[in-house]
Amino acid sequence: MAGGREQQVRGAVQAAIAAVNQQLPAAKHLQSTDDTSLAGLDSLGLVTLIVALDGKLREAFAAAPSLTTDESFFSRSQRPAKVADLVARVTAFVEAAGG
Amino acid sequence: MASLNLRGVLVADFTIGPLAQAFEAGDHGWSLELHSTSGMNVIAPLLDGSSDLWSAKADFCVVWARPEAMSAAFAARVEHRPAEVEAAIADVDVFCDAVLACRDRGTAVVFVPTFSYPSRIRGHGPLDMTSDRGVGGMLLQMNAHLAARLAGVAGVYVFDTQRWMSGAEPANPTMWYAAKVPYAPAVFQRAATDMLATLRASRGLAKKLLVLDLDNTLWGGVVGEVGWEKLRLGGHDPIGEAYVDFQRALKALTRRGVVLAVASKNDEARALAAIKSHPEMVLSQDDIAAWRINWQDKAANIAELASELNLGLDAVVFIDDNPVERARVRDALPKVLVPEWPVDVTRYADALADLRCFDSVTSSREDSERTRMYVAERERNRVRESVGSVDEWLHSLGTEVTVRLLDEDSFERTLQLINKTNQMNLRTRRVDADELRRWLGAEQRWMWTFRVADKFGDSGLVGVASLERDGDGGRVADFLLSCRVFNRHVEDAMLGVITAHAARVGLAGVAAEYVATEKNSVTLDFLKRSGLTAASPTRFLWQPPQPFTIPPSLKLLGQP
Repeated sequence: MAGGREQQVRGAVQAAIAAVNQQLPAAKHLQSTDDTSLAGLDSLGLVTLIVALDGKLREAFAAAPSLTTDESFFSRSQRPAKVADLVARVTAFVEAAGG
Repeated sequence: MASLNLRGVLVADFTIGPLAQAFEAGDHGWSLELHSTSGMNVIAPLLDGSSDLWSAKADFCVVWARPEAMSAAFAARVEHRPAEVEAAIADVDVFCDAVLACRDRGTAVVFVPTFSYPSRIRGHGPLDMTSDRGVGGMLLQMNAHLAARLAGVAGVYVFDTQRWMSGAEPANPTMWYAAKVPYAPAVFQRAATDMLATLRASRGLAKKLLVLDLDNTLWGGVVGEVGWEKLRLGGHDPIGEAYVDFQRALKALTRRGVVLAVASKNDEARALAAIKSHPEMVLSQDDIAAWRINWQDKAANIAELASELNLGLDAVVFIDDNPVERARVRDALPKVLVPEWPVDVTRYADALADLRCFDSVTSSREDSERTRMYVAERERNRVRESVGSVDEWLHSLGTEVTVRLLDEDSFERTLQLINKTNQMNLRTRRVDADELRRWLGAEQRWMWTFRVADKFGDSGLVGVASLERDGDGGRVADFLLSCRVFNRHVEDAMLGVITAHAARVGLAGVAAEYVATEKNSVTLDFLKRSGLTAASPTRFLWQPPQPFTIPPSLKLLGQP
């Protein structure tokens, strides 16, 4: 069950990255592989990614909690280092909220 | 597209990063160096000339303000506090003064999106469009004043923000609260697209020639198979109506100066009969400057059309419903713009409207009559083929050249010619309106305009020449002539006007220094046979009393 939820979150993260990439020049496109670093994202890029991911989670989970209620997702110092970290943290966040 | 390095400054009272991203992601091939500032308001950074933003001259600047941040009166109106429209208009004046300060700092192009506010602000409900209470009513007057204040200011362009928002997904409120981004990504993408098109146009890179297929592009059906009587065009037929609307949109483009041509695999006589005879054709043969209707390769036909109309392939757009033909032309003529084209004809007019490549930053009488001039040229050539010698043909045209010192009435057209004429152009000097006015303001400088007319019609203002004193002698600063009137001795007449004036004001001589570009070798060819003395491969001299007579095939009018 938990593995299925993680897969759903992973799909949402990949869709969010694709949405963000549509706004970026090709040279700045993000990969969606687990080891892709998120360190290069500026604050606008990070917010854009989290807001896009928030929308994708709402599509994936009937009662998805909003990531925007957890300010650590927007914090440069607490941001997930890699895509895999983002997937893990969002999965935990969704599970904690009973989503 | 030629590689260009452009420095842009983006000034906004919200996070403008998404616009910078949209600029960088645009299909332009330019190197953009973007500097942006997002503060509480836009006035301070615009007025602060010592800011790093202005450490170098900007090629363009975007000034994008939210009305509630720019105008205290508007902010009060949103909260239903007392606020007069006059106060909001005064705020707009302060804003415009700051925009003009930015322009006066040497910024070549300034973009100003109109004020808009989020749709969640309902204002005063049913009274919202009233000017004394409504938010919408006040905004309408602010935008009208903004457009009026900046209208006609060279290099300043006001864009309708609402049009970018129309049909776009609503802005995500979280993006506002978390990052101060007030618009959806599509709004920034559309804004960047419009602005990039304007930058292209301001550099003379707008497309000028639209080559069209016929069957299933201008009308429904294959004329060679069904005959013109059974084509789907107009009538009580949604498909037929869509073709008529597409033709109307094309006709409107011709009034903006875009030239139409046809490249179609068809029997010429049958196709022309359809154009001439079908009662619902909006376009007539007189709207089409040239055509190649045959069974040859379309790419070759398009190259011929461009050559016939004296236009470079980079000025050409090709529209065809057939993806195979589109791919062929893309492959053979990479400089030609071949847009993807919808399968559904009801989308044709929208697809045409989506093309920004025809956007122009000037509008002159010559633009609106360009196709007519090409049609007249077609007639001239027909006569040329029917008479014996070139001289005989030139005499038969009855050409009149009217020369005048540049005046205000001709200023815009002159500026347009200076900035877009590529082939017959001595130095290809590009200037904006302010630079030209400054140049003209100095002593001992003269600029003439040349209008050409003949028995087939008026070609309008097609030539510009200028002379400036350089020591004891004079130097030709500009010498340019539209390709439409090449090789009709107009260029000789222009040289005659310059040298006659030089003699009149006592100049010891005149030098014409040729500056080569990729496209102006025809100018060098002319200089070599002009009668001027070649002092070097690129420097040509006239010295009194060497006479320059006006060619007998034309009549010179006006008072130089």
